Amino acid sequence: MNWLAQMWTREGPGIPRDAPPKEGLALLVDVVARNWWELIQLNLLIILFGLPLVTLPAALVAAGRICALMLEDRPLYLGRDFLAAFRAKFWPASAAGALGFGAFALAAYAAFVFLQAARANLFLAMPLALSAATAVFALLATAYAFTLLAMRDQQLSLLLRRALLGALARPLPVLVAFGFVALLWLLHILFYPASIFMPAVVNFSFGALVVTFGAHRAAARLLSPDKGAGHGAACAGGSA
Amino acid sequence: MAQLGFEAPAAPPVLLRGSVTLRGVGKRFGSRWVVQDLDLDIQPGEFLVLVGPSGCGKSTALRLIAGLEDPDAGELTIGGRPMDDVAPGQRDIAMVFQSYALYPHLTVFRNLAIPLELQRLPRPEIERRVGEAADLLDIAYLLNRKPRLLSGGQRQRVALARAMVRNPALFLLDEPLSNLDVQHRAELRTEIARLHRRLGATFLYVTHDPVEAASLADRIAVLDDGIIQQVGTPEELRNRPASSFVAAFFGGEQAVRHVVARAAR
Repeated sequence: MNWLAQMWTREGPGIPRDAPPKEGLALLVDVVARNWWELIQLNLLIILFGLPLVTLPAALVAAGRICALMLEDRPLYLGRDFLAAFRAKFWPASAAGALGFGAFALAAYAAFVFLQAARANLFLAMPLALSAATAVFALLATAYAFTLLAMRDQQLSLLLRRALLGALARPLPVLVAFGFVALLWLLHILFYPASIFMPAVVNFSFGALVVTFGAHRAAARLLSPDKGAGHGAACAGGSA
Repeated sequence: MAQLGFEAPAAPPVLLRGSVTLRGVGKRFGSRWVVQDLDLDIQPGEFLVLVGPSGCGKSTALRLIAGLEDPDAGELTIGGRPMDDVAPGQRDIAMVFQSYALYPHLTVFRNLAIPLELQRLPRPEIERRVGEAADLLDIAYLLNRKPRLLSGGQRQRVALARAMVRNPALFLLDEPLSNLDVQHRAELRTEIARLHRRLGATFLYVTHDPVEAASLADRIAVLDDGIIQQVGTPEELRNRPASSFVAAFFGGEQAVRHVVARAAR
């Protein structure tokens, strides 16, 4: 068993003190490389806490909290921080989720109806495009709302204003993140049944990480005016 | 200490906190005594180095003080309190090992936080204390990394910081620099000396390297074959060695000739 002990205790290359902080995709890759095991555990937590579906928004916000801590390179207690965020953000997350998913569902249904009608009348392509864009925008705003809520406690009205502003100002990174999430699920479907464990192991947490990563920079800027309050102080302060 | 914000435990009288007294302490494995009749008084805030060749019993002496071994003879008091039935965790000490003894699956932050988590301190207090220790040992940039990425020097800094966070009265360091290369050894030696001055705690340091001992210690206890040969300041040991063994250990051939000549007179 010596090889096992040596594998655990072997000295590493060391971390340069003055290495520039990683940014962009390099940061994301670094976070995944350092926290892959925590991400797998986080995936199980999301499934467990999101299973009743009505708790899904709070589970996603709690996952966003964990991902934000990883991205900000801050100390992390996976189980405790997830639970604390889940409890503290349950009602605002549920409200934001109901509004966001409700708006998305309405717009997506309208788009579906206009798509059927547009086949007979080409003029209806205009409202079809509008409702499809609204559905995507609702999804973007929901992603921003969840990330903002994961990073800081705030009033619902202020949260919604910031989320809409974020979705308007920087839609592209979150859109790309949603593209990655779609790709994960596509891979799962394409390689089924070989990929049967993907949702249980990576899909939710990696998806949450990538979406949080996409929204994080703009969210931090939106939150910067009230920097003094400290990121996520409300849910990070649970006892150890 | 005050600027670190650490709180001193209330138990022993303040004047005695960190003092260590050994009276006739001995330990045997089977029929062989590895430590015999150990008499030693360590003052609060002192930096005492136990030095001697490999297998002379210095690590065993340290483990006896830490409570990791039970003495077969003698009395041991820490902070004026007899340690007969006191568990290692209750001795107000922290130990730093040659092998670092870090938890490989936890981040540096969690490694430092564990002693405080065991005391059930609230999270903000843990973060504050860990942050202060990390700043003092210049490892704040490592806090969210796992030990597998760290070099030997960085690991030993983490081990020192972990010893520090509990604010113990007594630090026991068992050859902490032996696994390091020359450059890191010199760096950490300076760091340990600085830490001792800054914290004002008692340091008991074990090494087989006389140069290391002389550069760090207020006083040095030379051990050979489980018996203390001489206790004194580095200058005393160098200038007035009590035996040819001490002379050879500290001064080389010339000092041995001096002792032999003095004995002949």
